[in-house]
Amino acid sequence: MSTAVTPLKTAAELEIAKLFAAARPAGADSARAAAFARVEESGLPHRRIEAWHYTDLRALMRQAAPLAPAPSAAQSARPPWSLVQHDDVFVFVDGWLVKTPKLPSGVVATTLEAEASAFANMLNRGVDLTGDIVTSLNTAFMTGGMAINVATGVQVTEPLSFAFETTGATASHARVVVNVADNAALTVIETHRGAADLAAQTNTVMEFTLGKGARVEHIRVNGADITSQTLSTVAASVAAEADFSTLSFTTGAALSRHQVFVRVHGDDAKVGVRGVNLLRGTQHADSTLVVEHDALNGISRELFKTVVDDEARGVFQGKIIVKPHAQKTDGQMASNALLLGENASMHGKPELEIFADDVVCAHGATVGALDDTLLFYLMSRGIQRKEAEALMIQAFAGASLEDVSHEGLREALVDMTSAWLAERT
Amino acid sequence: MLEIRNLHVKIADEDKKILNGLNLTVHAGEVAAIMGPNGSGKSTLSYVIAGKEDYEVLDGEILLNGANILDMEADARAAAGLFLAFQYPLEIPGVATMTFLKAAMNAQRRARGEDELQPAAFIKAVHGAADKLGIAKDMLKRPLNVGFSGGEKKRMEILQMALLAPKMCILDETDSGLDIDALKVVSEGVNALRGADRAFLVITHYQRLLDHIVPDTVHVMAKGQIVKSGGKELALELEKNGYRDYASAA
Repeated sequence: MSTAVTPLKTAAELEIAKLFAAARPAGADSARAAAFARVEESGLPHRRIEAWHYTDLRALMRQAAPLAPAPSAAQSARPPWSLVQHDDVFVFVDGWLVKTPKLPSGVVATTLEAEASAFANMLNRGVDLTGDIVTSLNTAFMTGGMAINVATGVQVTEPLSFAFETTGATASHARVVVNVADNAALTVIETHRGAADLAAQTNTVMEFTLGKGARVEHIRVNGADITSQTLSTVAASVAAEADFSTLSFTTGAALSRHQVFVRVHGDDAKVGVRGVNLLRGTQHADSTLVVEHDALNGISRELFKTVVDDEARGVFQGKIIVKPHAQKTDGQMASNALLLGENASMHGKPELEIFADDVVCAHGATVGALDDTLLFYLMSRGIQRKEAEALMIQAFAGASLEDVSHEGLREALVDMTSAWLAERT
Repeated sequence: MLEIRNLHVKIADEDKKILNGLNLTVHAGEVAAIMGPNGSGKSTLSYVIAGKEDYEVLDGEILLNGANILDMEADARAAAGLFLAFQYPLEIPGVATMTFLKAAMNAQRRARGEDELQPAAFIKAVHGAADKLGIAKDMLKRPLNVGFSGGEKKRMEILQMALLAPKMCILDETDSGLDIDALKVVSEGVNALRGADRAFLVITHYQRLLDHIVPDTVHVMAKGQIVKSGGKELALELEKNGYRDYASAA
């Protein structure tokens, strides 16, 4: 005898289904339908699912915001937030692509808007994200989509920037694919910000594939409004001798979930996954990453620094997987949290899953307060308490920024840290 | 310059009493040495003067130029002219030595209502003082004290002292961990700062340091009190006889 089980849907889940039936964006229909079927089946992830234990999205996302309409000409014309001085910025407003800059030579773009089926065929190519509900939601509802192909051997000297802006209390879904061919190199900057006090919901997916010997440096800055919810996913498939690094820097959003999935499938590759989360008030920021080594001699470095003030909550979940034949893998993962507020909290879950026998892998997770003795040392030199604390916090977070190779960008992130500290009460 | 009256101190959150009615006066221009056995409370005294929060002052006063400093935080005491050279200088990963020096010098200037230093003047002052102490310029770019040897850390303390130009300098076991050459460099650095309007309190176990930094007065500390005071010859006497005469004096 079998019993039909009808799971109870939350208001947000019911609303998402209604939106998909009524207002789904045009193009890539079969990809959207397949993705939505997975969302329908699983519902929003909740705390009984291990990967979502500390971020119960079903409970935290009480309402599904209406899908963002295409922005007005005025909204599209607003100058985007750019961390470094240059003109080559892709601009997405409320998830819609509104500006494509002149592309450097050797770089070709394909958009969802112009070539929906070609674009849909480029999704989930490097890392299979079909099992991830956040990505599936993005696929079902994506409005703006940009795929960049960098040809073999092309070294793009200036960073390509993607500015994601929101203007209302709506849901936006943007998708970016970056394919970097053999021995090519690219720096990608991604910035997020939004209109004040309008609880926007954003879901951004960035997919990277790196060819042999390719180099990609990706920096993501989440400065979303403090009322918003941001879901973000970075996936990278890394071939032999390639070098992929990604840094997430978060000061914004009431709720943020940043996911990184990296698969190393070629020998002698290098991966860096870093993060800085500066949290206050009642912010909740989740950094979840899975780095899978499926080839020889892989090196991966994961370093996350979380500063938690007031009643904010940080989450770090990091997993390094070493497949049976991925010998000589060298993986080092660390999550360090600094709790400033008495009611601040940090939840950490570092994991190693090692199936090879000749590897060097380690993980460490620390949670602590500011060191009183060090504070006394600084104050005994005449530095006031607040400034001494700021120096210590800046130094703590700075360790994750040291490897940003673009000097102007590194300075911009240091300045953002200072600005965050200056607002500390 | 510095006057300590009937100072009683215990460790906060514990019943352990460390200082038991200590009296000490150091005049402007004077170099006073405090010697004493392990556990006599020498380091506690230096921390309490500098304003470390782990202690509770039960009674007494500490006057710096006539003003009681016990209610001031450590940074205000520093701005008032106090400096403690640490026995174990702390490492500050991620903060370049230059950044730290600039923050300290400007914080004190601001507290005294003075303008911040111009960058060129700051760099010139630091390089000049560093040269005298044999501190290489590339060390100034490294995070403060991180990976420095014991001798380098102590030189860095004296560099800070030279740049901050305090009125009252306390040297806590500055000779510990120094070889003879480093001891000489550090002592010369200290001697160069001696002057009529500056005073020193040199805390040490051994006579050795006092061969290089010759004191005007020597005080023997035992069980949280000053039990004997005299001239520099008192240090030589201690070196010969040890501290056993004072172990039961308090």
